[in-house]
Amino acid sequence: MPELKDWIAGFKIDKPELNDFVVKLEGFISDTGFNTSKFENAVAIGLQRKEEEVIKTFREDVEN
Amino acid sequence: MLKIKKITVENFRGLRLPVSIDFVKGSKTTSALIYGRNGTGKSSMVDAWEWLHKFYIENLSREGVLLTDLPHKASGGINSYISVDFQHTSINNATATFNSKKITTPTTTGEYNEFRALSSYPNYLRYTDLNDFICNKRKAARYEYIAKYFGLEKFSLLQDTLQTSLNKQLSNLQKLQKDFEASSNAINSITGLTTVDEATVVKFINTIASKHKISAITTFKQAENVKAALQKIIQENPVAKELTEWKAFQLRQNQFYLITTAKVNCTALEELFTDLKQNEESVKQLILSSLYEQSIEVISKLEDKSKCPVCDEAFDGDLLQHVTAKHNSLAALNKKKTEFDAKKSLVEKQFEVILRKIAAIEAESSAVVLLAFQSFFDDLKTIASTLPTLNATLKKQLKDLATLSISNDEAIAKIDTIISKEVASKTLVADKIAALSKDEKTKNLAQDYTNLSNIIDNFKSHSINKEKVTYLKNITDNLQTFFNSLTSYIQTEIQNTFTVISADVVDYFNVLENSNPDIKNPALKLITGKDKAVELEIEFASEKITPAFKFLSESQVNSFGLAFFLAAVKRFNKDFKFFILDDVVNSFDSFKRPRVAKLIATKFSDFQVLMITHDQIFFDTVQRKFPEWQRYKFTSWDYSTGPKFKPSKNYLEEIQAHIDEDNPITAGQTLGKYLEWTFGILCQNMETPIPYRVENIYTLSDYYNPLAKRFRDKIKLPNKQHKLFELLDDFETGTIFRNYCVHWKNEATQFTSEEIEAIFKKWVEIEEIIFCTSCKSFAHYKNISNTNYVRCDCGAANLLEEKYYSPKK
Repeated sequence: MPELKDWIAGFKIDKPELNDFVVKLEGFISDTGFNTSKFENAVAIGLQRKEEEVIKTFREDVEN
Repeated sequence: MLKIKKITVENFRGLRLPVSIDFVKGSKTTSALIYGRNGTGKSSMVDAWEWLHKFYIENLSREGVLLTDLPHKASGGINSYISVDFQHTSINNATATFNSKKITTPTTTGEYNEFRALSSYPNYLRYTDLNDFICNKRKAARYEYIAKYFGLEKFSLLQDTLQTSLNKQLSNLQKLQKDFEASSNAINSITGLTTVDEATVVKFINTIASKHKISAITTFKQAENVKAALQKIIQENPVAKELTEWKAFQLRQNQFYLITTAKVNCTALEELFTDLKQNEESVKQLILSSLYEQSIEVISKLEDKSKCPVCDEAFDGDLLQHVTAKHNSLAALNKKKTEFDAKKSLVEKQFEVILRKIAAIEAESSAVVLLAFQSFFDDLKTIASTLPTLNATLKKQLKDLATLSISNDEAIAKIDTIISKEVASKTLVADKIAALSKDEKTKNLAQDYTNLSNIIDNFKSHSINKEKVTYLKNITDNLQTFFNSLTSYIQTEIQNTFTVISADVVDYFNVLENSNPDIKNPALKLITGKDKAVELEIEFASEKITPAFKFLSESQVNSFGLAFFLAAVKRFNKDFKFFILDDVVNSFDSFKRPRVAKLIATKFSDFQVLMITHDQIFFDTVQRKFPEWQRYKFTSWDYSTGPKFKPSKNYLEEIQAHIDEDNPITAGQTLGKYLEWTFGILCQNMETPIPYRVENIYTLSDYYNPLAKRFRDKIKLPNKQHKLFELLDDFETGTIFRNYCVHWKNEATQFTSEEIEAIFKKWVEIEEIIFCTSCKSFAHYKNISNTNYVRCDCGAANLLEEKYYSPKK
């Protein structure tokens, strides 16, 4: 029977440029599918972090 | 080859005490047949089998059944297991026991992993699965069915959930891009340029700074310094200060309006509520509405419309008319309830929008604005404190609400007041701004401050959104590539695998649908450009038709679904030849049901089968066809013990047992039923003309005499005596047989056990000639190119063979 993990391993070989992304994505994949809510939380945290990084660059001189 | 010896299930779903299904008869492994009415716990066996493989039960999970609900309630999760004993060189047993400490992973013992390595593909088919394939309007449902039996269930599940996430993130990305564009446009409208970057923004800020003798800046980081300096200048000019405050409020005011009235929707909602509340008892019945709807669809296709397909009880009257009337009586109420739910959701959303708008405008801090709009802000405060309570009321179930009175609430009236004052409020702000803008210098100062403030805010928003868009776009692009590749893999696998099994699918389909030569060669066609769509194709009168539904009846699509399942099982279960069919014949017309048995007999003789049915006739058909199978009857069920079940004899065993027990009446009646059924089959097979009786009452002689004549006519050869003729002569000898043929249903007519046994034994001898034990079929007559054939389906029992003839004495 085709195994999901084998297909993912093959995908990484076919698209080495996406290796880092797929490694992260694997954390959300299980036998019952894709953990949508966990993934969405992770993306929301990533977006929040980006916002905080940009806001930090606005504040530096004001604080000085 | 891995063979099942026994399946034992205890404390699982509806099964409380251990239920053991034996797959050994004598010293040989065999198949098993379970018969039981609905609700006797049969399907818990299939549930346990699925759980043994996947540790969850898909259709139950979809319905919201938790893993903790799988053990029998009275067991408290203790000793809840399925255990399978095998005949194999190295695999003796595989057991999965519910683990209450880790419900997602049962404790597995025996040679579980070795067993799973051999039983990796799904090998069970329920009525509901087949029904999904046939009746589900979504093409994706058929795709999922196919993916499952090709061992691609995990792939398909990943594809499904991945698509949900991808769509959600693409929608988020779209929203961020929109915000990014809005901030870019706002900056462009302030600068009058078309490019947005830090240098442009800094240059614009420096223009303002220079006008007011404020030090120039080199980076955006310093923009707040210019704003602070300009604010200081404004503080020294009260008119300019007030003007900037009014301008800032004007911006918020424009974002606050348009507000729509809530009163109309609230009043309509209350009217619907009152209406439904008056019919509360009927509302409780609405849960049955979809069941009635499905029943109407199913009953109209049933041959026997006198028995309820849901509870299996006989119904005295027109069942379809009865269910339709029940459904119609609920239809109007159902419409009203749907309307009520939609309106409720609309009002809830309206309240949420209003609350969000209030939160934004309430951030106003200007003392002059707050003073001028005191009643406006007071009204907002009342609304903001009341709407959450009203929303909590709306979220309650209809049954939990005694009354619904929101349209007359003060907050709803205040929303209307605010709406009615929109024009006046806006005019007041515009007038204030106009009055304060009379002095050109002050006006310019205020405008510079507003521009500066807006360009800083928008550039911040622009920079944040730009980063977010880049971040999210990278994720969605990669996710899309991953998803596309996965989809392409699944589709290719489905197409390739189908190509491999297509010959078997066609073969099995033809066995099930042999009555229609114009419909043949079923195939699968993937719809290009769609991620999860597959269409059925059929050859109808030499023309390929897609979708096949154009010409196939539901029963024929059913045959397609079953043929597909069996072909997949045959292809993928080479080391473990076993499958379960749970009530699948339910979807077939009654005349097609024996063909399912025939298909198993002819194409799956090397497989072990667990056949589950609630259809008594099919149970009889299978037990006649497969006398060597183990048979069980689930007779009843109760909570404390689970199903009551007993091994069941086949007809021949049952007759012999009654004879052995010297119970001639029951033996005679059982034999009579058996002969009636068998003569019927044989008359059909031999194309035997039977005299028509208007009263529709036939004796065994009415079938037997024309049948025996037909056999004699079709297999006679000049100067030769057929062995069957001798047996038929012997069978007919004596008055006992003739009496029996006419009076077997009459208990008053006394036959001895010896007399019944004599008839029975003679018939068994006849069956040994006319019934093929390989393909499980009786001989039938066929004339091909003017040549007569009297043989079974596989040809092994050929009555025209030389060996049956001897010279006539």
